[in-house]
Amino acid sequence: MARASASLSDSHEVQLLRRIAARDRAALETLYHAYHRRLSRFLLRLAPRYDFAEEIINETFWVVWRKAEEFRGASRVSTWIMGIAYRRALRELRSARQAGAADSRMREDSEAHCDDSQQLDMQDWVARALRELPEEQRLTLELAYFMGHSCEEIAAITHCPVGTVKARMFHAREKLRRALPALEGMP
Amino acid sequence: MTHVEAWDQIPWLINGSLDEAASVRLQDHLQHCAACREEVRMQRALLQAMTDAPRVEAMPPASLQKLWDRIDAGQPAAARRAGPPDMRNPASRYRVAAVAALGLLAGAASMFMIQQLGGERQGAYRAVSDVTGPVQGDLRVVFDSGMTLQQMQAVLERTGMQITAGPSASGVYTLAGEGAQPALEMLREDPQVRFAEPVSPAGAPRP
Repeated sequence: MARASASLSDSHEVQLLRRIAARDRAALETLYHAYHRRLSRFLLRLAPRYDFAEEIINETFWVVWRKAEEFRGASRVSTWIMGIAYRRALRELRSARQAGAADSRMREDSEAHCDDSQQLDMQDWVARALRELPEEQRLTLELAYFMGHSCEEIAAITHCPVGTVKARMFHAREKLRRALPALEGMP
Repeated sequence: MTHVEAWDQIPWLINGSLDEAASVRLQDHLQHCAACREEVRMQRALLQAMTDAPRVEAMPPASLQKLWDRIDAGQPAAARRAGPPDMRNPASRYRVAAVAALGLLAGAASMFMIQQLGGERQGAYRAVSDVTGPVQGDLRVVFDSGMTLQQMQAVLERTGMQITAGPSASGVYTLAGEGAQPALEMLREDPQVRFAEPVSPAGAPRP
């Protein structure tokens, strides 16, 4: 599981942010490279489009560049950055769902390789079921299971009370249980 | 710990983020609650399925350059949104036409290369989200949209790879050739390569 912690220490990340606030380009590049892999893997799980991931990562670091001086250390730097990426991804997913574009594109991708039912394995079922969840529930589940964040970290990332995170997880689990009967047969 | 409390804490137990004291209390509950034990098993299966899925990743060099371009231009974020271009805008129409022309040109080139292969090897096209049928040794690559055909050919020659399929609607090419691993490393270092990964899920790097 991909844990949320960066390869950089918290104190190093805070130092980088201070340098970014002073318009140190090398510091931004260091932070960008430290987060690019985990953010891209997270975002490409949400939509298999590299331009979607790139746009949100760059949008996130655009905000980091502009707002670094406003970071007061109320949370970890990683939580702050994930929070920016989360809100941007949520907005894009909602927009795409309303437009129907992302759904149809992803369904095409999915159905293209699901013609042979023998190849429809557990990962396919899970990927399909996750796409049917409301955005907030899916992102909460991805942050917990794919990124390995704690309930409290997700509350900070999503700017929600802990109770809301628990409720989203509860409802996501219920919906997935109904959508994924195959899980019950797994050892 | 009540059953409801235990039920809420199961996800955090299986993702390893639950603190020790709460884990101990939950484990005590699990010893006496078959329903929660079953839920732990199901959630573990779900987590496993999510984390076992093939990972894809974008490549940072070209993306970082775009970020610097945006910063240096001082453009507001909303001005560079992802998504369908506005076809009412003549500049967008021109850009789409140019990309389509490049795509056609590249498609023709890839068909030529496939013919040149003489059926020696036909790499199966797989969408980025496709998780079935791994083909060892092949790579999936997305080139920068501004790359010329000559530049693309130079990259292919340098890496010893050939296009066997693509571009897909998302601009993904499938490449095949000897020495896929060193080729992958070279492609990932190339600033004009936006994305490169092994076709085989087993070969995909993990976070």
